[in-house]
Amino acid sequence: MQTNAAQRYLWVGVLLLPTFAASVVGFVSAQTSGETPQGGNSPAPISGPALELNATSCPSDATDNEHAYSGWQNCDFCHGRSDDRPLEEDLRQDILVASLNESTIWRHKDKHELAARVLLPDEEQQNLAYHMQQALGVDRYNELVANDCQACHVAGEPDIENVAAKSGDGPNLKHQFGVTCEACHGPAKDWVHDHWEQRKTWRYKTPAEKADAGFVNLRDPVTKARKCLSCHLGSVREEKIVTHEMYAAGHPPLAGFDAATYSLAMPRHWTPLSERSDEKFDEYKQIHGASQVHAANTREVLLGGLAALASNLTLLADYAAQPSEHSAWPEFALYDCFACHHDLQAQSLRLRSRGGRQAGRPPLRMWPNVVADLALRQTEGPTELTTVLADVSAALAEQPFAERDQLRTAAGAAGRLVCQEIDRLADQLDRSKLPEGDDAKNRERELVVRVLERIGDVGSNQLHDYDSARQLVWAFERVFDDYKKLSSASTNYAAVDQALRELKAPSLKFELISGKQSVGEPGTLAAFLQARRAYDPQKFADGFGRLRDAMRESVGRKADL
Amino acid sequence: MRLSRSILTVVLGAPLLAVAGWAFARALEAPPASPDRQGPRVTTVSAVQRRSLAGANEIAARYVGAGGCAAAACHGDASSANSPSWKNSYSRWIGQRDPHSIAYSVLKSETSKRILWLLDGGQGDPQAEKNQPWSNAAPHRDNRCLTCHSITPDAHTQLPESLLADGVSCEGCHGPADSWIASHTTVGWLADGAKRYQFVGQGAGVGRDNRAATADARMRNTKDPVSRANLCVRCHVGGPDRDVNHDLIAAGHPRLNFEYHAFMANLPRHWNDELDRERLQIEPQSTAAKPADYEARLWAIGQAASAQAALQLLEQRVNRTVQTQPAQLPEEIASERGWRHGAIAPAWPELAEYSCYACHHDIKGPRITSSDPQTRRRPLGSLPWGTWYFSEVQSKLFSAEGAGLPALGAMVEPVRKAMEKPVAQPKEVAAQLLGDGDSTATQRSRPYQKRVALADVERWLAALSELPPPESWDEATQRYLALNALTKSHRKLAGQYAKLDYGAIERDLEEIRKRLQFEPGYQSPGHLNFDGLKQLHERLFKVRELLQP
Repeated sequence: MQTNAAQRYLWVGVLLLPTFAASVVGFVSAQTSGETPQGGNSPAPISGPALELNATSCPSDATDNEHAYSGWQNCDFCHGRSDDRPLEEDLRQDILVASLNESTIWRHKDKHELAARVLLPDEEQQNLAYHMQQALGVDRYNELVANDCQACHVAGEPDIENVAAKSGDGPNLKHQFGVTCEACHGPAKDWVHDHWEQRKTWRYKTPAEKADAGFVNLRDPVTKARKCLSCHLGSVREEKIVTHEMYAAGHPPLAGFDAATYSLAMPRHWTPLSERSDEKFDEYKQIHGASQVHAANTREVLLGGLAALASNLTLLADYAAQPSEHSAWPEFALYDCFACHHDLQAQSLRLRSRGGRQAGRPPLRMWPNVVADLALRQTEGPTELTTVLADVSAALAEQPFAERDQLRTAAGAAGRLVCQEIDRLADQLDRSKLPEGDDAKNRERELVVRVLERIGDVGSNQLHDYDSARQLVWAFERVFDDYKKLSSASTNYAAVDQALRELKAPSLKFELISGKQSVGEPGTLAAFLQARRAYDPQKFADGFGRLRDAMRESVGRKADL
Repeated sequence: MRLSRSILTVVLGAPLLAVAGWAFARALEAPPASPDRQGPRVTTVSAVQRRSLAGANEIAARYVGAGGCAAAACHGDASSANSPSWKNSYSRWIGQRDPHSIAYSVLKSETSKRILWLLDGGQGDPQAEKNQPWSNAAPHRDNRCLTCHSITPDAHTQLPESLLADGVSCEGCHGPADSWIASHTTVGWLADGAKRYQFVGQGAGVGRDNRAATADARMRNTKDPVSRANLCVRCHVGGPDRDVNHDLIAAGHPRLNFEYHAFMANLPRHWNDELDRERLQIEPQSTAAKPADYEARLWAIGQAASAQAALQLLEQRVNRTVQTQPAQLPEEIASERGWRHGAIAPAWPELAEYSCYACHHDIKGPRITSSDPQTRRRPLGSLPWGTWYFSEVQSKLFSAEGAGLPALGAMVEPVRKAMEKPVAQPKEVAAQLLGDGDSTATQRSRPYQKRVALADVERWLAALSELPPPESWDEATQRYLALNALTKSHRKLAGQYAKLDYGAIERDLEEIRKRLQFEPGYQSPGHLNFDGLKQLHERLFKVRELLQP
């Protein structure tokens, strides 16, 4: 283990943003100077001038509040058909993308529908809300539910009467229906009428035009990822923040998030445009930027990865920018939970191989970096990005929980630059820029194989924390699905599938829980936390090495590529 | 004996590696281990630093080194075990491998080098362990380490290697000897008795007025248990130039867990208490070879002295932070904030002030805590402060009703409240440390000087049994250590009237010790779950029941 794994003892190194920044520094310098990547020694000022950029892709302040909610019942009126009732012929002719059972699927199968009710303590079942209420005290719990929790757990309040759930001593909810249609698709008051009554024109409006009315274009992977991340990672602008107090009371850790994989696990109430072959979709596809067909997953994974990094940096910058009377600093919840929360070990990998970081200073959560790193290798990002990411590292090392002003400047600048990279990457991956026919397919296949190679290298050459490991497995699976689509039917994937199965041992719980079972149920949560403790980074890296080898075998690549 | 020898292992392996301190004289520091990522190092010596260098040379001249004490005709007589203790004190000290004698040599180990390398940012390639990117780190030349691992008195003074090599040698505790090495060999020295010795007060010769210390003109009093405790805590709890903070612990330095009685019980003796008492007429009221209240008194003195030192350390940490807010820093100092290579790190919140295991434990899922949220001591998500030096044992016993012990509790509680806010504000903590403005909490706390009677011990034991079950390793261990010391004294104080089965008590204590013990170094007491702690409390309580008449 000592000799052959010595170079893999990056464990904490990869856990750390500084190292990540350093690797980007190394990567970009290699790109620009032709040298071998080397982390760490590039000069980087502690703080440079703040870069003011006009990043087009950066989300501006939340716009949701500018539009009113209509209420999911209005959606359900049309979209709530039962599954076993086929569409009448005239409807089939009339509608384009909908199946009209979307709301039904959400109501019956989707855990987003539970999001509000999980906030209600249940003394008999002793659910998580009950535990949290016990820990916080009834008053504090109800106060948090009234003011904070519902930002994520309950979509905006529709102006329909009698929907609020007010029961005795329990917390007041805006309504009981949780994360409804409008939570993701946008407040519908201003477009619910037009999107049906004026469907002929609405349908062919551009996403920007629809966004003006409050409609969110979830067909776009970046928009979708951001929408998901606003809760699954957090957003100061939308007041969606899980604080350390909430975690201490029992809120489950926000685990690593990959929009492509989470969407797969979600009970599907949509049909991807890539699966629509009917000619009548062509114009619609064109408008919605869905011209990428074959490597759709690769695109979603890489863009989603960058979106996660951008969201994390924005969250950090926004939090650090809040006036200090209104927000505690440090807010422990912004950091990697498991950087502190782990049993201490005498022969810890953390201690043995840590480097590139001031000891004793907790790192940020790691998982947003790992796929973003792959994406940045694809875009061969600008050198400023390496500088500002190094600034973030420097700010983080300045105090145990970062020098607030310095972090605000650095994370803000880095976030804006990552947003620019998202645009560059989207442009690079736009299939409409490629020549038509087999040539395009070959070039897409090349891209997919290149990304698979990189995932294989990152997964097997470095040690990763649990969440980052999951991100890598998910990314590999999604991109490999693209590869299958782009390859001849005779190709044999058995070895890859076998290696993947071994890597995803059931005890690790890499598989997401679909359906209405909530990760917040005490038993489920305990099992999930147990899986984190059972995770062995070295074993994972070894397994990923086998996966990479099987993949190379399968795609007919030489190991020295 | 078996018991007392094993106490040390409970205390987390901290004692063997002593403390490191911070240096700010950058001109004195060792070269960095690797190229400075943050730009070129500032190597100019400021006027202030030049002055301090001049002062440092004067201070260095006051040390003679262990060689000056170890001559065969002085303290180095190894010829006979029957020699008077003073004749072979050096031989015994070195022969028994007193941990203090290897304090300097451990700094040359790979472990120490890696600690310093990590403390300074761990630059280089951490993947290739065989490259050992820390090989250039020089903890044996770094005053952050030497202030505790040698006789180096402060961050400014640089002593030659010849004075450092013996670790925390004679003068580390007895004081720089140049001014008294001649006179202490004269007949008059003994005749003057205790008057010859300098009583070491809390914080004397440490910190702000360090340089002006005329205190060290006389030999320090290491015979008086209070004076000696105040010496020990300088390193074993910490102080201004001696700060084992979270950065250092995260880099690999053991956490400090000082408990005076246990540490004294484990220290190889190079002196003879009985002889000292006769010759120096110290503690004339005691006629026993070892006073019967020895353990209980050491425990009480240690609690008070450690608490005082810990408060002083906190004060220093707070001041360093408040005074180094970036906006308040002059440009030139701000640019020098490259603490990665030797300067003081203004670090807030200082995580070493809090319980290690409050954060460092695997998260296992929801559980309902035993405490009622209405009466919970601290806000959810805040960190428990001072769990070792300001334990519940101390709050209970060192209170107004605390059976004659100094009322530390009332003084500490406002500080605790400020430290246990979700985010502790340094200025608020500073205000609490200052109290009513007359004096700091540190100054107002007084050491425990009194003798301990049987009735005192029994009252303290009774008070201990009233505490709720311990909820942390720190708390449980402090209770074990208190019980251990108090029951030993109880046995001796009760003398011929002792009717208890002390053997059974010792067996129970040994059982508790085994449960508290875990591998020294960086383990967590993971086996001590919540129920385990409750059971442990039952055992503690049983000891108390045994003591009931």
